[in-house]
Amino acid sequence: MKRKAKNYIWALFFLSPNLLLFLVFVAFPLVFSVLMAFTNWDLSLHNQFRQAPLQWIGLRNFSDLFGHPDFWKYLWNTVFFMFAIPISIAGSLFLAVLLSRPLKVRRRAVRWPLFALSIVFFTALGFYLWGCGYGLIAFIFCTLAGIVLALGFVTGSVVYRTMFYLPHFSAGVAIYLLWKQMYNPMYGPINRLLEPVLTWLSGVVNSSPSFLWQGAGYFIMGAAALGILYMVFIALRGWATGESESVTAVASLVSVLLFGTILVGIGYAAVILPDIAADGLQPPNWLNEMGWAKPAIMIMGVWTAVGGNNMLLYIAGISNVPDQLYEAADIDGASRWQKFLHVTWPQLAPTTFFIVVMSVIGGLQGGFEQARAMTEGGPFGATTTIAYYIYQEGFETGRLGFASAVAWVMFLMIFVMTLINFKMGSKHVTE
Amino acid sequence: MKKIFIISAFILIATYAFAIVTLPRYSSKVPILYWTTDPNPARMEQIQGFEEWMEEKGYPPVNLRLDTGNLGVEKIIIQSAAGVASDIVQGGAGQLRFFVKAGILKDVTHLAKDYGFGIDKTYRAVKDDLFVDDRQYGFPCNVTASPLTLNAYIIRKEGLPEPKFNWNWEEFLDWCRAVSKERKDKTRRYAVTPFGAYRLWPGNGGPVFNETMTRCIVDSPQVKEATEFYYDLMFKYKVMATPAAVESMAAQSGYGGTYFQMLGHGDVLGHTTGRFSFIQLRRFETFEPEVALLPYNVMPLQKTTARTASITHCAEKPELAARFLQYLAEERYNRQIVKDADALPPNPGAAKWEIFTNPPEHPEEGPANVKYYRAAAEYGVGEEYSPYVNPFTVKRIIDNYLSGLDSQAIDIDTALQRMQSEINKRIDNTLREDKQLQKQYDKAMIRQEKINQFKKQGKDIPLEWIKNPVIRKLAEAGKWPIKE
Repeated sequence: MKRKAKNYIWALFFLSPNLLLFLVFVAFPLVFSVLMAFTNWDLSLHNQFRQAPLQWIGLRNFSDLFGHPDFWKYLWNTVFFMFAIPISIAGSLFLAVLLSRPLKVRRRAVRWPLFALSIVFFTALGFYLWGCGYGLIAFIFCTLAGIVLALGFVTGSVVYRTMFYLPHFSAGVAIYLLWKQMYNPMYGPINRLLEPVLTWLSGVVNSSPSFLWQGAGYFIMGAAALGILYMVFIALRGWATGESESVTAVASLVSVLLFGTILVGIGYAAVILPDIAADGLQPPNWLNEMGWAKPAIMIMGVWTAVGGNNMLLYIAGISNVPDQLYEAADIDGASRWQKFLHVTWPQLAPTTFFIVVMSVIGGLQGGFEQARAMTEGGPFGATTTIAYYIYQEGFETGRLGFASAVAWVMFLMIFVMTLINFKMGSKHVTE
Repeated sequence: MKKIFIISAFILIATYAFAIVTLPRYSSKVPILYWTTDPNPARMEQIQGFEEWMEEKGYPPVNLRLDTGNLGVEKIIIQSAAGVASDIVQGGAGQLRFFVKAGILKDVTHLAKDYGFGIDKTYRAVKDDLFVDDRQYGFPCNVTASPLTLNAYIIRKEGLPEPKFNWNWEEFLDWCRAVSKERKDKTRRYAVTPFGAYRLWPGNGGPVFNETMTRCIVDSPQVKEATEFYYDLMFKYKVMATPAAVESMAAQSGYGGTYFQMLGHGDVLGHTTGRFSFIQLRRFETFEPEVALLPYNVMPLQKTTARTASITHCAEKPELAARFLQYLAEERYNRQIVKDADALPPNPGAAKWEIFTNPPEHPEEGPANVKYYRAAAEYGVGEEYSPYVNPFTVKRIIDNYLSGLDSQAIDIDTALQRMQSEINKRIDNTLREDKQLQKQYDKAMIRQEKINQFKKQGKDIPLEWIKNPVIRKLAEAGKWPIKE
């Protein structure tokens, strides 16, 4: 007994550095911030030199928060950015499926195109450096993409995996600054590429009768609306009759609504196209327009996330699917799509569940770096998320009590969302 | 295992002790002062000058060291609370007032009197950047008035109309329209860069706060009119670059940033900036400086601010740190600022020196230097800092709504209404948390009610009642209250 106690003491002694640091830098601040959320702690009033009495103000910080229209605006921004999650997960899965297959191109077949593309690339780069203008940037990007494509055929999927994962191990701020340049309204490669397309499109629209476009737009909108209603009906019927799980029904509803909304948007764009194309279509001013700033950041987020950890997890998940299942499906005469739908996808359920949980947590916490590096939360608060709001209140204006309250509200949202995910998802995953 | 653990712990403790003992503060033979400021190459020369000046004057030797990594407001406050902040910290744009409210700055009123770095040694316009409740907490490292800096080279080369130093809205608009044009490459040459609607408010008799700084009154006809004029320049007359147009130019930016590139290359002809811009603009062969005040409608007023140096309570030898503030008012330091074009020297007396009015290395800058000086000395007006609300919060709210106006996401009436309502709500919140301030506020409100009565009766308001620098300046010129 005495020896056992001695061992415990030594074990504690060995653990003490880690334990101490954990207590000081994690546990204590965590508990302390709960208390702070119920006080009026303000850096300018409560510090070593200005010791105004710290007041216990109960739930006032929370009532102030919920009563402030900015909070709801920033919460909506945060949720809006999270709409990109299903798209990036679908993209990761698509890439993982593609990269799990062996590339069947013979190396000789791409040697010459690769050589030619390299010459084109370096010539274009030379011209650009010589001072031939920004138009060449888009051309250089296209050639570079061609080279990467060809390289993949030569070296196999390793190059692709590395390229797709590249954004993930690059520094966040560097990527955001790069995208800021990509989105430059006049000289950015995105608008350089869009410009001729939009010029051509406005030419086509202006030379054709407007009722054609408007008719097509109304047709798409109507079809999308009917499609949404039908799919909702199917999902609800399946759920009511017990044919499908509640989680499947919810997932179907969310997907249908998401893609339905996109289709309605496309339809609406077609309806108004003749009017806006009358003076020529201009590429968007991505980060400075209220309507485009959020989508711009979402597109960048999808680009970063598609080839990131999610893709690696899916690749690992796909490699763990037993070959026997595919063999059995082959014997049953299943097509590729059927094999994916009935073998791969169900087998990846635990991976998908993990990715969804982590993405939702990351989504609710996210948006700080992008806002800080690219937009400063603007224009007009369009890209301010809850995380950036915490920074503004806590460190720009010194309201630590209020900022703690916002942080805990964010934690509660994440906690509830994760609980819902577990409640609805884990059962489905283990079956 | 146990032995390894104990030895490791011992080594760590020993290295920690070694690091502490060898810290400069403990190992230096002369006292060390730390100065938190921005990383500017000129700082090394300024430090050397200070150390030599101390020696020349027979003051105790001192070693001044830079800390350029901890300029953030939150860093300075947290480090102060931990007792490890620098002896001298930089302030500007409301920072000093925030630090004073947090109680981290030392009141240097008496030291300023003894050592000779009071308000008489600098520009009156920056008083509110140095003083809080009539107590002095710092001295300027430099002073910045930001009138329009214009590209005289392009104006002369293309035979464009000469700008006036002091112009009203109509004269300014006429000039802007005359110099803006579509170019062959389909890009537009604008008259000026977007300088922020709020800069036109004082010149139209539109303050942000009332006389006693107790309420925000930004939703006024004067502010609305100035804001409308500003956005007309941008969207109706297209003589001011939109933020989007500036963003487009950002890809071209090189040394000195987008605005200086645009000004230096003649993509715009005017940009609101201080004399420090010469450091960057001297490199452009297609640039020669000219200076003009921002246009006015009621009276010309030019916002003028100071980058200050203040002593924290962490300073172990505050009287030694105060020598640095004294040095900032002295000839040697001011000569350095004049030579380096690091904005305006803090001491206005320097404006009379030959090297300022006719710099030997850059004679073309002489007339512009004098105009910068006049902008600060004759037309300068301080920032409006209400003691009842955090200046950063006010700035954030105003910037937020102005960005909404820039992107045409909100109309001017709604923006100003919301701006005023949000700032006033923040004032109420501040008072709710600070009972001491509430008492001061109540007194100020009694004064405000008297002022309102005087205004109704058409009586002159005693100047000493007016705490708002913009309104004081307007009242001094007989332009306040504004006649509807």
